[in-house]
Amino acid sequence: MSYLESYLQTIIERGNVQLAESIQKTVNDVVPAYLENFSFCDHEVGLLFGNVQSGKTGQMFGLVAAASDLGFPVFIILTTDNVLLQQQTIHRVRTDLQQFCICDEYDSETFNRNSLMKPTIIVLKKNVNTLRQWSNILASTGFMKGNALFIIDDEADAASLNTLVNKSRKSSINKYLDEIKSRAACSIYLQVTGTPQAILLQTMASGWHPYFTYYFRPGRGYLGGDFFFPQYEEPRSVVFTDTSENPLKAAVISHLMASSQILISGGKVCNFLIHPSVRQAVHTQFQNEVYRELQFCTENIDDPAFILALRQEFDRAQPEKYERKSFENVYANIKRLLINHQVNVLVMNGSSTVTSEQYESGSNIIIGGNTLGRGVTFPGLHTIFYTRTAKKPQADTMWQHSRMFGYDRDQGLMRVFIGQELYKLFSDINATNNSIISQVERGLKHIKMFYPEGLNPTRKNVLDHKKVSMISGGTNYYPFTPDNNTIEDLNQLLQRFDDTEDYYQVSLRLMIEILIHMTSESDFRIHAFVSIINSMLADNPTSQGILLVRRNRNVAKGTGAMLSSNDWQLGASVQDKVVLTVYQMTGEKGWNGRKLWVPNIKLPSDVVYYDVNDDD
Amino acid sequence: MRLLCSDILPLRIEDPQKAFIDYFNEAASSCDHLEIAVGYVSKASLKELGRIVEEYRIKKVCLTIGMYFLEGMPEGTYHTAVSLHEAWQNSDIDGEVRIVRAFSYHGKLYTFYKEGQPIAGIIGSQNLGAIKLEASNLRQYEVAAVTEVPEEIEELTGIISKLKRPNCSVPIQDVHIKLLREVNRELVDQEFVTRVSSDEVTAYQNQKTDISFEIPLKVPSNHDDPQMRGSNINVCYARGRKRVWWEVEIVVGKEIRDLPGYPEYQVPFMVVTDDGWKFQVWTCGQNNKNLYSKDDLKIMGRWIKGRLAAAGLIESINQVEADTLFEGLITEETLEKYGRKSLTLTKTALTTTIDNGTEIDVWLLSFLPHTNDDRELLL
Repeated sequence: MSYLESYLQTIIERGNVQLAESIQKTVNDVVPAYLENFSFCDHEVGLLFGNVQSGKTGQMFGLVAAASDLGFPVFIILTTDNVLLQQQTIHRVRTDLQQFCICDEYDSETFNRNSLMKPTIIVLKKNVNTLRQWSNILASTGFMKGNALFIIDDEADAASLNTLVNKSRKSSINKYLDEIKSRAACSIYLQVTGTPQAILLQTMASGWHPYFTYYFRPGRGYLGGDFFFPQYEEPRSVVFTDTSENPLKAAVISHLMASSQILISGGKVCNFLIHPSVRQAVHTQFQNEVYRELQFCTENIDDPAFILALRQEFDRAQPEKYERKSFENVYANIKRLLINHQVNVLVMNGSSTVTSEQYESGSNIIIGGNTLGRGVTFPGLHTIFYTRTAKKPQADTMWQHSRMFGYDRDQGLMRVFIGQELYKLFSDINATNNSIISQVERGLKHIKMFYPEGLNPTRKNVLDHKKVSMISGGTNYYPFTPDNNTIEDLNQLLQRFDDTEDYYQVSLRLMIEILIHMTSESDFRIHAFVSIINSMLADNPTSQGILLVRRNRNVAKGTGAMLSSNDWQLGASVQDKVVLTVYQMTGEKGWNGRKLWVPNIKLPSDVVYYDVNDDD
Repeated sequence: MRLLCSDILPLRIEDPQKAFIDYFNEAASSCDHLEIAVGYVSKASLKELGRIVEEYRIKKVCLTIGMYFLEGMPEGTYHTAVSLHEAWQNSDIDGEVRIVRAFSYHGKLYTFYKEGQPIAGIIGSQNLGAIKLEASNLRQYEVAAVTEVPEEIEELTGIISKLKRPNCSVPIQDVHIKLLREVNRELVDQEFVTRVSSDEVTAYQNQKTDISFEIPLKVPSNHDDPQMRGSNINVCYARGRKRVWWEVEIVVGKEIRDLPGYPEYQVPFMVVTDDGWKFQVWTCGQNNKNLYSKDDLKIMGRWIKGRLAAAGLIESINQVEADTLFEGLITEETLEKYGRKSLTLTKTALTTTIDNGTEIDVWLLSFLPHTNDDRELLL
């Protein structure tokens, strides 16, 4: 039995047939396209992109097993620099991939003795000392000299990228990861993440931009961005805290109801997460407030007004995974939870030591800051209370704090308490994520992303400022030194558009047609605009834009403004579409008699588009 | 005739081809008599052959190795081959490992018999290493031809039989073979350790003084001997504080410590080893009885135990508490096979300046087997 068959069998025997099918699909898509065609001479970088908490580890293991069947002998799985997460991963590797030689960070002798006779998996934290040690081990054994190394970097956008790119140096972890790669004759470096913003904004020259990107869809029952922040409908589970009189009380009541409903229906755990600011004093303040609310609930448990509030919450909730119990049953259990003090309040931050066992069963309210981020999983999470917005929010970090995503949630019991402004930010991030996914699924090579002004895609220190530029929506862009591939082709393409019409509504595909007949110096990267328009088409293949066509324009070359006042105003009146204005020059005033077509483009307003310039 | 190929990307096997390793295992599992004559072998493949013969209860086996008599044999491979030969000799298997002496034999022949009848024969580019792929040959592409025609198999056996005649080859324990010392890679890239060229080692050796100490390594006589099981170079097997396998504690007897010129208590000095490493050492402990590598106790261990592991006499152990069979325990028997039971510490007339500007003495430290005349360093 092959390694892959054996792994899938293990999953199926655990009763998870759907996961096995999903992994098989990923393997079928990735292996023939990228692994079977691997040159065994190069160092290649790929990206496995999947939603937050949507089962990436299983997909990673599937690819490891499939690659072993192809003869890849060594796999390094990188985890974030957290002992618990590293140990959690190695435990899963040991349980799921038993035929492999599995090395923990200190198992150099195991690695040595095995001498690649069995395919080997090494699970390492992204920690400078650990990576240096293994770089040395790979060098001293010499095993990798003629062999291929397969690195799987879980949460590859965190810690791995070069944070000193703008200082012309390499950050330590980035340096050692490069060094580890260089120990092998060839390598595949598979980045894995649910937030690929920072990775996709790397330049090709950096060596960290993926040559291929694969997105795997989450399986059935997964609640993710589209459930919580839907684009075209009202969110089912969201309660806006701005309009609620006492949102925390409402959240506590919601949690009591969900906990009681789940626990008496045979569920093991129901969690409630409060995500306030990073400051520990605020955590304590929330802890006290939660205690106060619980106290209030306990004292008023028999009060008809309180019972009515519970009843309303009960009526709203429509559990789908659990049998809906009678209100009397649920109420009696809430009473029991409160009177017996069975609702645990846990504070997770630098000064407290909360272990995962403490929120694996029962009814828990967890309060914390950054510790609630990347990699930490809260089982049975049904109520979330957000208060924080960073001053300079970053899309990837915010998304990683979306701990409500996952499989073991009951959508009929989910409640997200959130401010409208923060909700809008999450919705915008979700929209961009969906756009990235569409672009990946349509096989676009140059993936573009855009965010509203004030929301950064990722932390700035990993982006090469000289190469990553921002193109603002609502701003007119035009080339300083334009040229046309063939004026005749453009004449023909634009023949049907009359000067007398103010504007035409056209398909964005036509705009691409027009733009690719034009060239420019690097001040106006036609390629970047084409990619951005392509990304819009990936989201919506029938997208339309506004086209203005003007002829016999006698504008001087290199002038500070190209558009006439009328055309400027006309373009400015359109905020939500791409506006492309093309002027055909008379050929005078610096154009050497050539009747060139010159573009001016304005993207939809209040949005910033990110562009990586990989031209040289 | 059919072809047996390696199965590696981008040249994976295609139907109806078969991988050599798969065919070999199938044929071995259904035979009771196996004859092999190859140019080269590896440690891992020798162990694998031992396992296969035992698992499939093969009654008769002969492995004839062709290329090492004139070229010299890597010491780890040699010790493993001798162990395999001895294991067969001491069991009811009619088995032996032979070395071709008359010439360099570079052929690769394999024949399989069942109840006296030939069932398969392979002529190929694969040396024995192909039955257990490891780091060094995982991506080495080989092609062989296989026959199941009895007359052709007998023809191959005819050559193997002639190679087994005393005028061509002898059992491995009967031959004096030049051993190639393998580099102890355990010190490569270790912090506080520097590689030294052989010319530099010679230069230091030319500056030896008369101050020299022969320090015996105290070990149990064999695996059954409970004495000294947890001390000195086997200190990781001691009860109490857990130590990694590489850590050693060289205890030096009073009769040596009292000799004139013995290094002073906790005064670091540089040692240059006979196999080309350089690191700092000092003497310390109660009554100055221990000789330690200064910056990390594992350095001395990696030097001594790494030598024994490179020679194929012990296995490095990842988790000492799991080594219930004492595969990593060093005994008198181990050192006997290695050819050396002591370290020699000799002062040179030279000094060296270390990073902090201090000038310290340079000593030579030796642990290569005494039979230097017929061994060469494999670099």
